[in-house]
Amino acid sequence: MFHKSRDKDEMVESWRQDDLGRRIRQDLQASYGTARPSDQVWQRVRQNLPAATAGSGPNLIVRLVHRALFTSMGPVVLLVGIMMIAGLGYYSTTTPIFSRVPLPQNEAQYPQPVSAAYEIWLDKSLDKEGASVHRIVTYEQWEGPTVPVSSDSPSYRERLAWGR
Amino acid sequence: MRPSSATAQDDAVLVLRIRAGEIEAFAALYQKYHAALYRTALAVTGDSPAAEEILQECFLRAFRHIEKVDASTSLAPWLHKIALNLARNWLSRRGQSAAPLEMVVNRLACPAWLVPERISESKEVQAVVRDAILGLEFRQRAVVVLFYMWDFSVQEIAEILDVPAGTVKSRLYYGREQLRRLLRADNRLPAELVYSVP
Repeated sequence: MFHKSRDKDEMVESWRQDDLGRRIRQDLQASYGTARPSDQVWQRVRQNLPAATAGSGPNLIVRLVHRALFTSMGPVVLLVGIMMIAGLGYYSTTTPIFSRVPLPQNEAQYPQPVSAAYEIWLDKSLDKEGASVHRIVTYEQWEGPTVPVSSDSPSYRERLAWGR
Repeated sequence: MRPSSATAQDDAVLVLRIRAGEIEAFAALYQKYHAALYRTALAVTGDSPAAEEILQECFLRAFRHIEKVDASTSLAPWLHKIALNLARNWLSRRGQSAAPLEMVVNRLACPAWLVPERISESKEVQAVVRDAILGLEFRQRAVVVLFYMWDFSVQEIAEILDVPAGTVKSRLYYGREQLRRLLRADNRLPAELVYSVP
């Protein structure tokens, strides 16, 4: 293909101006020399620039970390960051994240069960031999008194769970 | 389009302004290069909607990576590199140069006497050459377009395509040989032009 190494560049450059080269150049210019994209392309580029500016998540994080570590304010930023994280950690361990719903104090405060299947009672009663028997029953299965009595009574019930 | 020192200086100023957040500078960069990049994408893909899509994505990528570019040189090779990578991806998705190659093969397979009338108008001759270039495989097509359309040097093309300079020369040689064969075999060319193909 090439006879002498030092002639390669000259030979390649001569391809720009030989007959075939001139024809290719001329026809490429004639075919595409005046082609222009529509104005909508710039509009679309422009619309998408804010997203490009903000960068993707990792890119933004890398920039922030880089700025935090390698600028003159880096140590201050780091210290403030560490203090914020420590404060948040302390707060989260000492303060319940969700406020708790207070337990009902008596039967009247209990919400009415939506479905008996969701209301589970501890049924404590005496069997024929007088031994204490505990079983977990639903509301319909309860055959004892409707109002709970003391747990010392031979028969009593206690609501274990209720609601939806 | 050939990068001059003035162009490189202009580009360096634009890059610094874009890095400082000036959208107007980016608009100026777009104005400077969009037509050339569109023509390159069009010459390589042969598809104007694809060329517009490539142009759009090219500038968005350029904007995202403006921090990484070497501001001391012209941006033309860098922007062409992005555009050609996008064009190659587009051709891969589509099945590289399927339609243009079919066109070329059909014309080669068609006997001369079946061609209703040989063409002589220069515009149609240009179409023959354009189709022949689109019939080249992507690697050769990209080199031919960069070499002849924009007068990039072999070294610049090597940097744009990320290949050694020797590979650029080789692709250019074989691309030209293939073009010569395609042009000689294209039945649309009038006899006087066929014989004039070097």
